[in-house]
Amino acid sequence: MNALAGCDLVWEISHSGLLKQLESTPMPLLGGRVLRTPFDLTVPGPGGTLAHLIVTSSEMDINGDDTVTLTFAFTRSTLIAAAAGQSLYPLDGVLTINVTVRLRTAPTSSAIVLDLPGSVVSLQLSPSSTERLRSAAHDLGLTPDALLAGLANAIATYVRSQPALEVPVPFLVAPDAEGTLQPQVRVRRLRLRCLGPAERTQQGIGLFGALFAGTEDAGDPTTRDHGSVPPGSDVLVGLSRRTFLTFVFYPSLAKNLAAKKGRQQPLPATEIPPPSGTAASITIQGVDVTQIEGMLGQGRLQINTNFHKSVPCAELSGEVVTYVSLALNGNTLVPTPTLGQVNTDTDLDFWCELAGAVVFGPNEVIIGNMVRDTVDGLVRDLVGAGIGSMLKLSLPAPVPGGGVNLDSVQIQPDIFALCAHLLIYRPPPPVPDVTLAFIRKTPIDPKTIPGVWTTQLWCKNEAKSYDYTETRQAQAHTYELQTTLVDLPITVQFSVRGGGGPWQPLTRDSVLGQPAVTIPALECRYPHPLAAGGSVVIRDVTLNYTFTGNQVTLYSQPGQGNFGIELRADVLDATSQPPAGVDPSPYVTLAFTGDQVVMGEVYKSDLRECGKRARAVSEHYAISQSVPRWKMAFTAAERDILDDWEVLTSMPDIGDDAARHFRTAHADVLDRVEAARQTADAELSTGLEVVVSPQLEQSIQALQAALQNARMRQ
Amino acid sequence: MPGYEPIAISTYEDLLEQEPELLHRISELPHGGQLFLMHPLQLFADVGADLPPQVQQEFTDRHGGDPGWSLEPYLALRDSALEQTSRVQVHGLFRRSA
Repeated sequence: MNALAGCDLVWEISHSGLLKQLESTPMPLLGGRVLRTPFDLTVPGPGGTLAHLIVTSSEMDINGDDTVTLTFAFTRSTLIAAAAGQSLYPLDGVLTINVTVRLRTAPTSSAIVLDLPGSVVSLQLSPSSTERLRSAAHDLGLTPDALLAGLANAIATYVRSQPALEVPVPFLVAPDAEGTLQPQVRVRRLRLRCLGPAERTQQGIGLFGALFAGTEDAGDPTTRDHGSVPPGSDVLVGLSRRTFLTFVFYPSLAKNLAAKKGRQQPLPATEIPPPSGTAASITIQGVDVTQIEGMLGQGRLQINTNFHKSVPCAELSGEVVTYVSLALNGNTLVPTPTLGQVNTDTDLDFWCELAGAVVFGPNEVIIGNMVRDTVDGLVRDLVGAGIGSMLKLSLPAPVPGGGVNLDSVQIQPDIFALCAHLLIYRPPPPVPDVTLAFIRKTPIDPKTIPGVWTTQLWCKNEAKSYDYTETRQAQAHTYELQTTLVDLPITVQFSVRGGGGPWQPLTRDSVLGQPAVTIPALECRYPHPLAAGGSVVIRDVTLNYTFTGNQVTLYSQPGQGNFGIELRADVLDATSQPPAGVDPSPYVTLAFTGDQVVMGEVYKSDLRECGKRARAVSEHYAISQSVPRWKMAFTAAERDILDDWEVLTSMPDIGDDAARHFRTAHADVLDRVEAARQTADAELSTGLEVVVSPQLEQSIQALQAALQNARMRQ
Repeated sequence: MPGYEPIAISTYEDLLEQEPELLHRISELPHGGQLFLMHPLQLFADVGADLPPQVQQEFTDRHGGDPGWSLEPYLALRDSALEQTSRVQVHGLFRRSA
């Protein structure tokens, strides 16, 4: 019994192939992560608790009863009972999930389904963890047995509430339609069989397809008990002899025969010489081909061809056997035909004179060469060249979105198989991390005030009055301390600082009212007066703040303008120590924007016109410049703005005027630069440096002269 | 902001005549010069010279149009008792034609 188990087609994925799939597919079960350890997972526990599991290793087994077993070992984990103010730590053990594997088929898509909702889940805690839970159960209002059972039930409920996990497979299933291999594989019936011996290298999942009417019930996949994918490969696609001839060999033949006859479409079956009989024949290069039969041999294809040729004074007929071996060149199958045995019958006049010359005598060499030349060219032209491309097209891509790399071709009398390994991007496993994550920025009570600014842009001949809109508002900035692979519960102390001052802790136990912190002598920016490029006011800034879990929200107040501060979180893990392997005190820079001006379209249009002139100069000549790393925090569009800013500020004379307008138009971006500059990070202080090339300097001087001339002519 | 004796202004010429007194009052403010640059009309009002609309308009027109004034930074500076990094002293308030 070969890999086909009597079916028309088999598609098999090995243990390693399925693991690659799971390691590249985000799963809701794992909080949207892929199956790569270590990872952490928070699930609801009994009685309003939360179970935080740090999974350090995982294993998978494919079982012969059409199930898959996922085994997760966890350590340094915690049961958090916030209401009782308790955290039970550390916990360790093993979580086992036994999942039924089934097939979902449809005319448009199919998938191997791991049925999590119907899974069997078991939790095995270490003796020390069991004792820890038992001794704390009373404090949680539960009996020890109820707590242990409740935790196991809660985790089982969580697992079973997850959607089924689907691994797409490249098959369409249409019971009443004719089977095809191209452009997609469509079968009349598809059956799944888990191949689950104890040895993982022999485990796999096979899909067995029926392509022909009447073969739906042929074969028996249950006779297969171990995988056929060779080591080093992930998938195997096997075709029966009939499938190979029907969907690969004869279509290839029809296409190549048509090409020899100068026809675009493949020849219909009625015009192709059959394997036996003489129903159809085809004449090519003066040779009548009467029969063509393809076969799978041992390690190669075999093609039997019967032919007949009339030559002056003789009739040649016979049978030629050609062997086609297939070699892999990357992902391409390269066929090499070899002429095998030739059996020839030659009817000729013993002495044949044509136009006075003797053509034939009893000379076997002459006859043999003529026959060999005839059939050799015939086979090469008709069959060999097309097979490789047909096979390539026939290989179903095992997984959407991923590629395959062919490893080997297996040809035996009853099966033609291609083996490949999957090319799938597998994200790296998570690493311990502590992050201050931005959650939201909310305007508070924004007020919009229209205004008019009379000014002369540097590239314009006269002053104009431009409409603008000023928006005054307070803001709320919310950040959350998020951890990955850190032992919970954590303790977080938030602090803020600004204007070069010291860190000030944000206390959680305010005596009266909403807690607040005052940052003294902070540089606050205002866009007005527009003509002066805005103003800077040194002032004390008071921020209110609130906490929600590990989130902090800082509230600015009206009239505080635009300013930057830093927010820091000092973290301790469940052991009351800074978490290892991470920065335990991450900080972020917050840019509060309480006063903004948005210029009207006329102003922006005029400014764009001015910008075009500067850009023309900038793009025409090489500018060498260093790009500080902090710039990467800005979007590409914003970096363009900063680049323009650098060019403008490097231009003497027109630079100040241009820069002032530029600041007005792009105050939001430039304020963020200023906010970043206020931080103590030395890296940021590298600032906006630009090195102007001699060519650019010359062009700037030329531009200045041109502008001056233009002004003098007015 | 100390209380000031109101200065009656009905025409632009009245405003020009009051320049010495206005200068005196402004120079006594902690950030008077800078406040004048930020929003002169508001500063005139704060030091006792509440200009009628037509005088405000004439002042604006004679000085190149509205340069984009806003109360926001003006009030922030006026209410801040801290030393500023930028200090301004004004010696005249109005453009004089030659």
